[in-house]
Amino acid sequence: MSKTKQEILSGWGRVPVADCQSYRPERSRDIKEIAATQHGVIARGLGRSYGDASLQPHGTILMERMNHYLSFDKEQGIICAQAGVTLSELMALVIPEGWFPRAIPGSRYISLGGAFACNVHGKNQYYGGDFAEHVLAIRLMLAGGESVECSREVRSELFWATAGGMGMTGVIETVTLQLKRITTASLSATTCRVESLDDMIAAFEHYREHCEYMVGWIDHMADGKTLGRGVFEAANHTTREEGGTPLSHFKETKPKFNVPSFIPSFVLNRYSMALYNRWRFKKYSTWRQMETIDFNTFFHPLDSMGNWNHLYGKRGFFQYQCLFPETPDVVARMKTFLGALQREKVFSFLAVIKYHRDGEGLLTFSKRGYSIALDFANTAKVRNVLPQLDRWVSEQGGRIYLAKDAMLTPELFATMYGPNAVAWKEQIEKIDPQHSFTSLMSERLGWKKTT
Amino acid sequence: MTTSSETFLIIGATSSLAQALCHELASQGYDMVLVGRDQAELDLLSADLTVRNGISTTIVLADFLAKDFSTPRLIERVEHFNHVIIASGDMGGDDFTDLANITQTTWLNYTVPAHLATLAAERLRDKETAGTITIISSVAGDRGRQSNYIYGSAKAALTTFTSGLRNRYAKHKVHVMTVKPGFIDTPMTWGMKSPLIASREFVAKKIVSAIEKRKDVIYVPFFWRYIMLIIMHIPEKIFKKLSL
Repeated sequence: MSKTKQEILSGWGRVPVADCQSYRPERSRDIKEIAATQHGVIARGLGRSYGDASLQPHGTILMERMNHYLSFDKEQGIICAQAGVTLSELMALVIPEGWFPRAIPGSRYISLGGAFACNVHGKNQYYGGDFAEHVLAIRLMLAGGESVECSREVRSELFWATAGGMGMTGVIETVTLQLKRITTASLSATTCRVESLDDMIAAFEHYREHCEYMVGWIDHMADGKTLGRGVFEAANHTTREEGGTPLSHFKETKPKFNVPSFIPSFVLNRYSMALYNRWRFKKYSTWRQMETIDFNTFFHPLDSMGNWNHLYGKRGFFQYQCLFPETPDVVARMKTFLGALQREKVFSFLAVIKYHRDGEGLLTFSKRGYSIALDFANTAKVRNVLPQLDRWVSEQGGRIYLAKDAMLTPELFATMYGPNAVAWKEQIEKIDPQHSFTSLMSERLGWKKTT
Repeated sequence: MTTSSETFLIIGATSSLAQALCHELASQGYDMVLVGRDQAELDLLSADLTVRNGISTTIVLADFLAKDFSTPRLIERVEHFNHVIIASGDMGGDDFTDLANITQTTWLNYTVPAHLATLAAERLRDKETAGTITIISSVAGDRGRQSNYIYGSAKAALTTFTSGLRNRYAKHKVHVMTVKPGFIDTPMTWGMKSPLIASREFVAKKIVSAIEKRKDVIYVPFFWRYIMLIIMHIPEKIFKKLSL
């Protein structure tokens, strides 16, 4: 029998916390044994989902030691690795060979298994789709201990129930990924300051035809006419002809410093946040600024700070990412949303806006429209406001991103994800009728209970 | 050992510590022959070393408990090696009254490693180039404790064996190193509440660097030498009443 360790775990937001019995398998047969004998377990990669998706007091399976590569075809750009391999180490391996992952979320410290189970996306979602779109196949350990291969062609229902399926179908063992060609380790980025949300959306509409990556940062303290002002960034891969850093120069960088765990909660208050946001806004001019930047600066600015989740202190924080479908009045609705937050006096240190196209899969977050990601300190006020936000987002035909969620109710989940959620729930009930795979999230959202 | 075309024979290659040793050796460009009993796990380790470090390895399948297992045949099957690391071992069962358990624990932790080391030393003795044999013993062999003294006494025998082997081959170009690891972050120590657990990567680095420096007996991490020194000097009258 595999040994276990009792430890206090949480998602990246540090709320909620749970006292979990954790397994740390090193071999496929260890996972088989857990899957065959335990009820109520969940796989956990690097614990970078923000809420309770990777928590299960009965049994949390830490996948960090399942981190072998199986193959890397340097001609076709196809890499097969165990689920515990991190995006960071994968990038360090494939970039010097001229290959690049097609979906890169805001942190590279995520596991491939977690990326598939949350079907993560990046700043190019509207262009390259979600993570699962480029996964050719996965190997999945089912309840009972049977390990199966699935893809779009083979057991496709299982494949799509697992993509974005938050670990409810089994333990993802391996992921086979199709990469894309790059010729340099640089991006050619355009950065400009935008004075309002209208300008921001105009920039998105303009650049989506020309650029592979787009992201907007909103100064969440600005209100009135300047509501939604911020900085817009768009980028493309730099080609060899345009210059750029040679591929061989790419190095896996470690965080420059670690945020200590004892930062008091009051450090990030609305005044310090306002100061930071104002400074960041003023740094840029309304003129377009073109520059060649490296991958880490563009994709993973927060990764340069180790344990940045400690910034909010011990109380932790909520990440909140919601999607507004692209309708003619989408700007007005986003303004209402941002305005409502300001009226409630809940502010976000970072507010990020991205453009999406419809995603593949049943529980996939992406839908044609704009998403806004915010983070809120875990305070009584915020805990009070979040359910109202959920309701409002749901009424607007929007939805929230499960990888970041810790508060949603079963009713609103059903409304937001609609008929797909019903189909998905039927699927997982068929795949795991004994409820071997459950998490605090699955219990909260009423998908599956630990028996 | 500056040329990197030398080959390490790793016995018990898929064990948690041995995998870390393989990665350390691969990062320094050594070739490897991996010996283990689980084909799938060996294939996985081999593929991982190829993808990460661009080296190719040879796999030799061997089950020390199989009826037809033979130590000479295993060594014969390995075409070429300059260095050996014996990392195989087994904690054994809980029933200390069971003869089969004692026999098997001794077989896996002493008899097979000792014979393989001897056969390897004979092969290396006739070579032009210098060779090394590294044997992973254990601090558990330094003093018998009620919880694991069958395993411990087999490791004690192995430690004594390495000392003799080192002595016998000192006049040849075969160096023998004894490694006594303390707690390492492997499945064996998962869940153990101790501040002394060292990472596999750290221990692997120390072992490989000690091989290059031709050390005789090492404790990893080093402070285990002092911990064991204290433990070994506790008078038996007191020690027998302790539950360490």
